[in-house]
Amino acid sequence: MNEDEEYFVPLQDQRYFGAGIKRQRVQFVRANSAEATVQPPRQNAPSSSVGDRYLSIVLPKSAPVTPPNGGTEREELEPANDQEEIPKTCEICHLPLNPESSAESHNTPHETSIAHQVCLEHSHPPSHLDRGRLGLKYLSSYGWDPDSRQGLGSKGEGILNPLKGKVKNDTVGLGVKFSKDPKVNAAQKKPAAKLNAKQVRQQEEEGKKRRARLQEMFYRNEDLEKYLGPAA
Amino acid sequence: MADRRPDATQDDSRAKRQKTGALTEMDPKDNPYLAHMYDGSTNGDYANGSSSKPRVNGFWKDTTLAKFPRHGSTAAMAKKAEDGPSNPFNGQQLSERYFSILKGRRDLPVHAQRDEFLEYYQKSQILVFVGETGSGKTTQIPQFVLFDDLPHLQGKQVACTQPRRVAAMSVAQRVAQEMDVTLGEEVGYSIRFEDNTGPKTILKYMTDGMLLREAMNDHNLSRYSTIMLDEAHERTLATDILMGLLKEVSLRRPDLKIIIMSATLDAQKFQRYFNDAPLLAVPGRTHPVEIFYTPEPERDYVEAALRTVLQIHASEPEGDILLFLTGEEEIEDAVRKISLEAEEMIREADSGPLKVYPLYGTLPPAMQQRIFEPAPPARKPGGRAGRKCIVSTNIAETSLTIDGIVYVVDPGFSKQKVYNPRIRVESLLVSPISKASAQQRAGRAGRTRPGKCFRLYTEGAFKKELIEQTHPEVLRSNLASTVLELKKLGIDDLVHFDLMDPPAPETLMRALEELNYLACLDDDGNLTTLGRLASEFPLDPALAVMLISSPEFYCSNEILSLTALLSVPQIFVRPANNRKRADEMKALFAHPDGDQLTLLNAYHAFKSPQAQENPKQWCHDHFLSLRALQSADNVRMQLRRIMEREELELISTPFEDKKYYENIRRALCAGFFMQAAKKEGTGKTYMTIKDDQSVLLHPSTVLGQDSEWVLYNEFVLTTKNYIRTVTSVKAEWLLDIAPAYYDIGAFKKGEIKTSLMRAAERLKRKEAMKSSRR
Repeated sequence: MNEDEEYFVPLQDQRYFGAGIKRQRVQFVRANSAEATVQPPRQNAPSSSVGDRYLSIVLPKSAPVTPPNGGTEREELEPANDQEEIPKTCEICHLPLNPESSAESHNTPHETSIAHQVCLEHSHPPSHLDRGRLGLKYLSSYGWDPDSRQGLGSKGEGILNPLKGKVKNDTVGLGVKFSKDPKVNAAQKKPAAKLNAKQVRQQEEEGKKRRARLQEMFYRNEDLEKYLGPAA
Repeated sequence: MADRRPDATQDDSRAKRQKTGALTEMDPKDNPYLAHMYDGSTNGDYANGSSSKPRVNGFWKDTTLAKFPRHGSTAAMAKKAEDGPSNPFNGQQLSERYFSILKGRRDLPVHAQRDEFLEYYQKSQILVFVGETGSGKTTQIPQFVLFDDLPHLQGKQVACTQPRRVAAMSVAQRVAQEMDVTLGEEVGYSIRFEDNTGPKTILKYMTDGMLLREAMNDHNLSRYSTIMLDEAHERTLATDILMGLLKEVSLRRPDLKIIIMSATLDAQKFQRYFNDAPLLAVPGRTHPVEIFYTPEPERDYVEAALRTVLQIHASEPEGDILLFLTGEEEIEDAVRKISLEAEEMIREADSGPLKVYPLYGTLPPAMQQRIFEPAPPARKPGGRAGRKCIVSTNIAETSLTIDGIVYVVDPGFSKQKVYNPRIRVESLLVSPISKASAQQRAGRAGRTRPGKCFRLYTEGAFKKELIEQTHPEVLRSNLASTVLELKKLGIDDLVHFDLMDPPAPETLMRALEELNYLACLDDDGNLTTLGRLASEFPLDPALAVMLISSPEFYCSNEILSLTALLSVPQIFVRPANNRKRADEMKALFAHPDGDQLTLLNAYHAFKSPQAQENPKQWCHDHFLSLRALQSADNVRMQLRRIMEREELELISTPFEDKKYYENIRRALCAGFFMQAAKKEGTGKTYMTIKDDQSVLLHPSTVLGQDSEWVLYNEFVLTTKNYIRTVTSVKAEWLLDIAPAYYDIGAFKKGEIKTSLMRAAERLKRKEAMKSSRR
C-alpha cells in the first residue's frame, strides 16, 4: 500500500485543463456568505463524515455534550446528528454517504474521495523478470505466473524474492545502532582530501566518461547501430 | 603412475576395515567364554553360502524373531530377545560388553517410552518424533524399529539419514557395538565416496544426500521398509528434498514407514506438512539454564566474549565453558588471547588452570577429539579447580554433544550461507542467528547440571532483531544440482513440487538456465543424455560436465585428479606462525598459468615415489595437508569407478607434449565457462562475465597479473570481492567450447564484447588458414 501512495494522486486533486476549478471556488465563496458555519466541514466531505461517525459513537445521541471549546464546535455537532438519521454507507469504503451534501457542496462526488480510492482494488505493476528467460519459460509452462505475486509450492506459498545477505566485516555486537548525531558521524568521516591540478583534471575526465556512458545507455539505438556500426 | 593410485588406496581401505574388525574383537580376546566368536566372524562369509545355517538371502533367520508379529510386537517381547543369550540378528553368542552397554541403553529417556513409540509406529505410516539431544533417539529408535519391522525377514532394509558424514559413520559404529555385530555387516553406513555396507546389512546409516542419490535410480526406494530422517530440524537441502519426495512416495508405497526425527519443538511444522501425522515427544535429559543478557548492546562482540569467558573463569563455580564464534580465524585468535590472559590470571590472582580448545569443521579429527579431554585438575591439592573452554563455530550447536558444559557464551552471530541468484554468488556471511538457534545454544549449558547462558546482546535485541527460525538451506543455496537431481527423480513440475519452504522463483530459474548452458537440460527443460550422465556423479553439475567432457581434450586422468582436489578441503596449509615458509613451499608447485594447475602439480608430486616413502613427513615439509590429499585420493578412486562404469575413457596427453597444460586449461573451460572474468583495462580489477561484478584476484593466487581472461572456482564476498583459485584461459577457447553462453550478439557493448569479437575474428582467420592449407 505504501508504494502505491507515492504516486497516487487522488482524483479530486488532479487538475486538468478546463476543469474550471477556479470557477468552482468562486461559487463556493458566494455560498459561504449565507451559511458560514455549515460549509467549512462539508467542504471536505470524507473527513467530516469520518469525524461525524466518530462523534456519533463517542457521544450519546440524546444528550449532546458541550465540548470545552464551545462556540463554533457545538454548531458543528448539530449537522452531524442530522446526518446520522440517514444511515447510508458506501459499499466499498464503508463510509456514510451523504447525497444532499455532496450534491450541494460543489463537484466532489464521494467516489473521488481519498478514503474511497484507497479502498478500491489496485492492479500491481508487473514483475521485473525478463520475459525472455528460459527459466521463466519453464516455470510458466507449469502454470506459474510471474505477475501473480505468488511463490512456488503446492499452494504458491513460497517466498517471492531470494533472501538477501548483508556483508559484515566488523565485530560490532548485535543491536548496536550507529548514532545519527552529526557530531559523531563527522568525527568518523575522513577530512576532504586536497587535490592537485592533475587529480582534478582526472576527476573531470572520469565525470565526462561517466556522463557519456549514461548518455549512451539511455539513447543508444540498436537498429541504428546495426546499419551504422557501434559508433553511431 | 595413474595405475598405482587406486591400488594404494584400496590397500588403505582394506587395512582400515581390518582395524574396525579388530576393534570389535578386542573384548572377546580376554574372554574365553566367547572364544568361538572368532570362528563365527571368520566364517561369516562362508556360513552365508552354506545351507546348514538358517539364512534367508544372507539374512539370519532367528527363531525368536520369526515368531514376532510384524508391526505388532511389544517392548516386552523385544526386551526378551535383547536379553539373549544369542544375538537375534546373527545367531551368535552375545558378548559381555553387549550386556554392559545394554544396561546403559535401558537408562536412556527413549527407552521408557518404547511401548508408546511402537504403538505410534505401528498405527501410522508417517510419524514425527521429537527427542532432544541426549534422549538417545539416533541410536535407539532405529533398533526399536528393527525389532518390530523385521527387515531381514522381508528382504528389506531400514535407513536412517544424518546431515553429516561424520555423524553417519560414528553413529553406525556405535550402534554396531550396541548390537554386537561387525560394522559393515548387519549395521553399515553409506556416505559420499564411501560405502561400508554388505549383503547382510539391515540397518544403514547414511547421509541424507546419499539416500537422495539412491532415490534417483530407485524412485520408490523399494529396498527400504522404514526410512528415518534424523535431525530434520536442521533442514538441510537434501533432507528438505527427501521430505518432499517421501511425501509422494508414501502415497505410492503404503507399506513404507517414515519417521521424521527432530530435536526441536517446532515439530508441529513437520506435523502439518505431513498432513497431521501423529507426533511423539520424548523429553531429553536437560537441566534448567539461566539466561543473562547485557544491559546495553556490545560495541565489539569478540572482545566482550573474551571478557565474559575470563569473568566466568574468575568468579563462577566449577564447570566448562562453551563460546560460540563465527569462523576459523576468529576462533584461533580468541583461543590464543584467552590462553594468554588465563596464564596471567594464574600468576596474579591464583585462579585455576584454564585449557582452551578450538573447534571448527576443517580442524583435523585428532584435534577435534581433544575437546573431549577432561578439564585440567587443580594445580595443587586443595587449589582452585581447573576448567576447559571450547571456542567453537555453530557445529557445537547441534551436531556435537560435549558433556560437562555449564556455561555458554553466545555473541549472537554465525556464518551462514546465502545465495544471490542475480549475480550467481554463494557466500558465507556473518549474520545474526535465529531465536531457535539461540535457544539451542543456551540448551547446551544444561546437559550435565543446571547452567548459565550469557548472551552478549540485550533482551530487546533478542526479541526484535533475531528471526524466529534459521532459514532452511533450500532458500540459501544454488539449486543447480538439486534441479538436476529432481529432474532425474522424474519430478518435472518444479512449480508445484511440495517442499516445506519452496525457494524463490528466481533462484530456480537461474538453476534451470545454468543447467541449460551446461547442456544438461535442453531448451524445453528436458534432461539430456549429458544431464543424465552428469547426475550419476556426486558432484556439482559444472564439475561433472567438466569431467565427462575431459576425454575430448585428452586429459581425463588429470581432470579426474583435479575434480577430486576441488572436492576436498584446501590442500595447502598456511599456519599463522610460518606463512612465509609455507608460501615458499607452495611456490615450488606453482604454475604461472593458474592455481588449478598448481593444485595438480602438488598432487602429482605427492604421488611420486619419493613422497610416498614417508608421505606424512613429506606433507609436513611441504606444508600440504596429508588428510586432504588422502581424501582427494579416495574421491578420485570413487569417481574413477563411476567413469569406468559409464565407459568414459581415461587418457592423458604425454607430459612432454607442449599442449599438456593447454589441454587441461581447455578442459576447464568446458565446466567453468560460466565462472569467467575479464581484466578491466590496465588495472588490477577483473569484471565477471554477464554478472558484471568487479573483482580482484585473491591474494593466494599464483597467477601473474597479465592474463586477460581467467576462470575462477570460487567467488569470495567480503568488502572487496575476490575470485579464488583462478586459471588463465583464452577467449577463443570459451567461444569455441561454450558458444551458446558466449553468444556475442547477446552481450552489451563494452570491453568484454570487443574482446570477444576480436577473439572470434582470430578464430575465423585461423580456420580460414587451415582450410586454405588443405
